[in-house]
Amino acid sequence: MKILIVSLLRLGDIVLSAPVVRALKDKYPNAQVDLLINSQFSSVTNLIPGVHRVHLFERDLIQKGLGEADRPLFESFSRLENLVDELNANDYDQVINLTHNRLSGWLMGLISARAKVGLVFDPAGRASFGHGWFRFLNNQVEADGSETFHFTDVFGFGLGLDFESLRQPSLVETETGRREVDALTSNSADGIVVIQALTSDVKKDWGFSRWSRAIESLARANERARFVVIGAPSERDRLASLVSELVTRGVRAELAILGLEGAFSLLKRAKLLITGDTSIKHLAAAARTPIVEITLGSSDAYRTGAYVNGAIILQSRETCAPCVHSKPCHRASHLCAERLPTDGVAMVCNEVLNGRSFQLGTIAEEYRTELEILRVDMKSAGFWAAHSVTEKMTEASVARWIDLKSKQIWLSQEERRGSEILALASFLKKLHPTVSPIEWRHLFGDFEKQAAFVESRINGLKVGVQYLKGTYEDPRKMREFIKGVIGFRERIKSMPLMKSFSSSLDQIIEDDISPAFTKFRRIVEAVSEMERRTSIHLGLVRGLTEEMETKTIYDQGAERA
Amino acid sequence: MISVETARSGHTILKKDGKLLASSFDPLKEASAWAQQAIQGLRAHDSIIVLGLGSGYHVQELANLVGFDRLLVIECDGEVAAEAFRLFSELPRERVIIETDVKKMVEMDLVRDVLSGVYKIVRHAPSYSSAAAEFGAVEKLLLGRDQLSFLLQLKARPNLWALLDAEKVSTISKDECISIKTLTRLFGPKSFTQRERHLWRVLEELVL
Repeated sequence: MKILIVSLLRLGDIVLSAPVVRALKDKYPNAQVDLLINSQFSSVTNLIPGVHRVHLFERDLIQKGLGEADRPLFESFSRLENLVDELNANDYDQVINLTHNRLSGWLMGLISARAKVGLVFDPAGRASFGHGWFRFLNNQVEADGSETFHFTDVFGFGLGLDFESLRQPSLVETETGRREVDALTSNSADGIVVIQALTSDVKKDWGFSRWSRAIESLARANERARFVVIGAPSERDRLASLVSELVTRGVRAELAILGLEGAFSLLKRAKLLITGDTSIKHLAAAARTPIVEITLGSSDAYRTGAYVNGAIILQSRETCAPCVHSKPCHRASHLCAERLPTDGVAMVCNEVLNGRSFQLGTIAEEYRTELEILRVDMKSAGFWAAHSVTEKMTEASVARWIDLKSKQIWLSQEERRGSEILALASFLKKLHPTVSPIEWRHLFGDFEKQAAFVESRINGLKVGVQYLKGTYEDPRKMREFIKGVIGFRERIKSMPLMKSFSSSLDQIIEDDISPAFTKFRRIVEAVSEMERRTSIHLGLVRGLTEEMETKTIYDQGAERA
Repeated sequence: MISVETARSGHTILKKDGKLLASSFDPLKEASAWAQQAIQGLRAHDSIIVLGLGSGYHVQELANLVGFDRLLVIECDGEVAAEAFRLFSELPRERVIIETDVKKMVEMDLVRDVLSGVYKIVRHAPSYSSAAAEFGAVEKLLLGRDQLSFLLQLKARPNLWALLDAEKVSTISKDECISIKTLTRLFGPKSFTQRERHLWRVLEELVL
């Protein structure tokens, strides 16, 4: 079997696709897995095992050919044509688009394969996705990060890959990398803390003065720690000034300009990585280095956070974060960075560096107006989950997890509800170890009422759809139906468990331009989707009610007393 | 008028109308450096079109690096070519086009073959400056960015030519600088089902 994975974004995105490569090889051990990536990132493939061949997309060269008048007009066309011919000569069984942008969608339409997954544009510009998960990815662009899934989960589930496979280490150290860091890491007695202070976007940068203060605090509490500031060759001069400032403050700091392989080798030997939103965090995740990630600006931790259990994500509480990726900061100053407390960051890093986590809640409480501390859990829920370390058991917070699990089951078209209920129950108990069965029962009882109400209203909608079937061309009938849908939407907005359905209803209500048949078809699909998802919600809630009847720590403690 | 001279290194070089067509000190060293520069940024399977045969050293050095199969040499002066072949009898004549008329040039199979792929244009400066007008016209053809050159280049791409709307093509002005945006506007309404149009659609996403 021959598989091609198309990953035409940046370095971090390619590293995020490494778990998919690994899981594909687990599922199809004899498969040939090839990659198509931008040529400037070709060195990363040395770290990804299981890749048979790497095809390079010469994006920079092609863009030059398009833009520079002293290059032949058809140069870029011919380069692209040659690439497509080269790809098609492989006769792929499956091509997978993990890029999900227009460029990749159009390119996918040119690659021949028996099956395609991910965004594909046909010659007429019609989009197809190959699987509900990838359609979901497309439709969730505007959604709040906490209501959607990590990209690697979307890719993996959309390909029917096992979550256990996805969360295994997916990169390998190379001899080149080892040699690069030999001298740096020869004294293993000192704990190495790696600092990645610069990102690709100034909006995501925290600022050297804040980095210096935080690192100085951390260093005072950890005298034996060595702080290695890493970066690319183009960042050398800037980072040298940071290192110089740290040394002046009495920190054991040094600069290391490393290639990707060297960076990975260093991370494998490090006790902690403190980083902004960069591809280095994904290397660290694969190296199983403890991570503290500082997300600022347009960073979206819920979609692209470090893909490893136990990673800590620090988010500013500024209301404008995350901001729009392609636009500059619209505030008077870079508030999300300015408000992130250096002491708070240092304290969190100190906890993680020393293998502790019990103080994180206290730190989060102390800095609750400025800082949110998230912890990544990949062991319990059956998907990548980032939760606040001070997450309280509220209707909204629990509803969020049930809704995500419901989406996972619905999109994967899974019937194995039992194992999913167990996973979710385990996760919720871990989050809220002291909540009693009675409290859970009350909460799930309310949820069951919400779901049952929606179920009955959906039955009513189905009757309405039957009535509309022969009359949807009549604008009056359609308006009448939509009026009912609006009323329904307003009711479910107040229901924490069911409010995510309102986005499906929005698409029907706000569609003023589609022809009547298309609008009717969308209504039928939306009602069918809500019916299925409500059934899943009910199944989950009832299953959780049963599971939560088992004794919690609270009950056991009370009994012992 | 072509004359033959000897460089200080002992190599034979050509002179055209009093102007040297290679280094008078060490043409081989000069040619080697020129060839190294010429292959910068070249990708596997890219062709190189050399403007000017000169004394032949640079072409030979380039061929040593990439092979004659990837070279096409265009020379405007038949006399220069004849002398260069005498100096380098192993230069494959089929890879050297001796022509000044761009309309005739584009009818040649070899030229069409190269034009339909990826190629880099490199000037042999002494040759180019000895016939700047002629080589300039050839270079314009190879770039394809003016009306005439664009239309001539389309002869090497009949599939693409078939997708363009003839009426829209006739609206291209003589002094228009052809770009991808020009092509986008020239495609006919039924072209979208065709591969070539689809390829251009990908390129349109890369235009910043």
